[in-house]
Amino acid sequence: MLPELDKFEVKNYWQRAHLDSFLELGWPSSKNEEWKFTSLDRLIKKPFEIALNPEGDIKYKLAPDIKDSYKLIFRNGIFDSHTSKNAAHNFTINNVLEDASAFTTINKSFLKNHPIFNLTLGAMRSAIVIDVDNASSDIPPIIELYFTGGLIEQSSHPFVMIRLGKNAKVNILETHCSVNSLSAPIVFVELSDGSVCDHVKCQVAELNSDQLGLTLISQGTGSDYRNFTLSSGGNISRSELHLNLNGEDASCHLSAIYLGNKDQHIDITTRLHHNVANCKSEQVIRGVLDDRARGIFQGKIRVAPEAQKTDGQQMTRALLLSRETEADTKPELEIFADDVICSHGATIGEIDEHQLFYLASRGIPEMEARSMLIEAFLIDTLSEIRVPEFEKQVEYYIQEWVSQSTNLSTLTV
Amino acid sequence: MSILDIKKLTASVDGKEILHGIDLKINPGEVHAIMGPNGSGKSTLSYVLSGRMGYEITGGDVLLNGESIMELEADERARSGLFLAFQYPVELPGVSGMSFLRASVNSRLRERGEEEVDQLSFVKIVRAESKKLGISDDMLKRAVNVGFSGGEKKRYEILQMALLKPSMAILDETDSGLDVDALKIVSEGVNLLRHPDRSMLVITHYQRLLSHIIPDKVHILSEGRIIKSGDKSLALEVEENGYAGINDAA
Repeated sequence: MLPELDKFEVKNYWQRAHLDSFLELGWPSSKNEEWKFTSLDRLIKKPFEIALNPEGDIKYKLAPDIKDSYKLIFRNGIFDSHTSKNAAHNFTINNVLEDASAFTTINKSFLKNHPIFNLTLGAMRSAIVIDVDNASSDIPPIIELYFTGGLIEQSSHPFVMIRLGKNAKVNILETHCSVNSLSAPIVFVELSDGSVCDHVKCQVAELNSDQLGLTLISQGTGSDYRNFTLSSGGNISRSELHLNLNGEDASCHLSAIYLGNKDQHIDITTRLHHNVANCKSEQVIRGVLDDRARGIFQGKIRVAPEAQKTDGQQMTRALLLSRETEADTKPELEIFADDVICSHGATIGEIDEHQLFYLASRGIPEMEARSMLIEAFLIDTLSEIRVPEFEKQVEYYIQEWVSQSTNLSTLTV
Repeated sequence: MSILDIKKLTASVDGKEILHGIDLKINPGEVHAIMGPNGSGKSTLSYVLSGRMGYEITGGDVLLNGESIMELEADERARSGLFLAFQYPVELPGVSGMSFLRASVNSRLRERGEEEVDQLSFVKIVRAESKKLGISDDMLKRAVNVGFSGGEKKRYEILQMALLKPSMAILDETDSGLDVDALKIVSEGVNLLRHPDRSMLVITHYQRLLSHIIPDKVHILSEGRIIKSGDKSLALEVEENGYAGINDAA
């Protein structure tokens, strides 16, 4: 429960207006079609208040550091300039609230009624905008957004906007491991014409934390955006991505892996808008669920009337390791143009007994065999990551998850 | 002591008894063949021996190197020295061939308390064995059995046998789906692995495999029972008279 938001002190009227919008609409109920599969009841009942200071630490192990990255650390959702590090790169960093152009972009957003959009814009204490220009270096620089620490019974609301200039290249890694009751970050990536961005998000927070993250993407002509999301942390988690293809010949590739066990609820929601002609989108989702976990994939592709020659593909597969898990898939195609190729597919299955026996007949113990088959199920999706450093990070968290999965560990020989 | 000693083995699948009391002893270094018509219980026998789930042993015993394996899981039997070459090798998309082979070999080494083999020396061993079987580097790089032709799959089974060095190998219809050339390569591979300490049980429908892999003994399986045993000439007899003739004689 967020107490007395109407009395929450904000720095400006703009934020106040967003909070008021949030208060007016309230938390979404499961009667809201967008939130049909994800109930926030457990979250709403928890007592917490909005975090005001960068504090709190985490105890568990994270993937090894990446060298030469530009690392921005958000503690409790608030930018921690003391621990952040700037490698050789020269980015320009500003405060969103002092950047007229960022302001305009946000105001133009179509998410005016989105609860997390309004809550985080209203409650944010740090709002950063980073500009990436067309650098001469062949190797795209790495920006790391590291959301860590925090206090339980507080909610964190970081906001980061990354703007790629014309033909600029950047690789972004987000790591979410904060322990807040609620972590509701917004990351906005704006790709100018011809720019290229590989973006990986690892949501590996502890199980007592709820994670409702928003990723907003807008793409200019000929831009190339590739997103990979790993979601294995949090109690209730929802990774929601809204992407707008606003310039012709732009392409995007979205892949995600969700891994759930115990009573986790993991939601991957994508909203893909083909607004102009000749764009391409591809989505590949894989999920593995154990114990009583529930996994959701909602993927909407909207093709505007003028978006002819659109190519939109979507495929989702879930692997259930226990009989008490549930996977829900809701693909939605809203096509208003007549010359398009769009497809979607979904499968849900279990570990194949024939494959397990084949491995057993070679002497491989059952636990190891299951791990091999789970990793094999995920490997295609993992290989969609083009940045080797990022692939290693994701691999690390997947292996951690597989080795800790309870159904596997109880089968120890 | 026999490598494999099957005593009065009865087994059922889905509550239906398929094997009605099999007795079979295989001594070290011997190659035995089991022949039989469709539905005689040949594949059931191979699955029962290797410990596949769903194949229930209702009576009798099976000793491997003098010890009962009936209480062991499939992977434990394999690590005790039993190997099954599959009639239909299973595709494992996403599982790299090299890591699969290494995991198999290391599981046996661990069992024996020996040091696991490192990646580099393992690649060398695999390459050497692959060469004998005409397995290309490209095939080794692919996922296990994925995109392999029928012949390639069978050669890959023999490669695994060569690497795992079992004391008892069961070859389940290894000849099925093979053309003459592939049959020759596979049989030569098997013959290279004949060893005084290793026994083999070759399960086949036809005599043609047994003209390449010459067995010490031939058994005819019919309706879940061994109805006749003899030397290699028994296989020729089947070839001439068919299984019906053997049944009549019994």
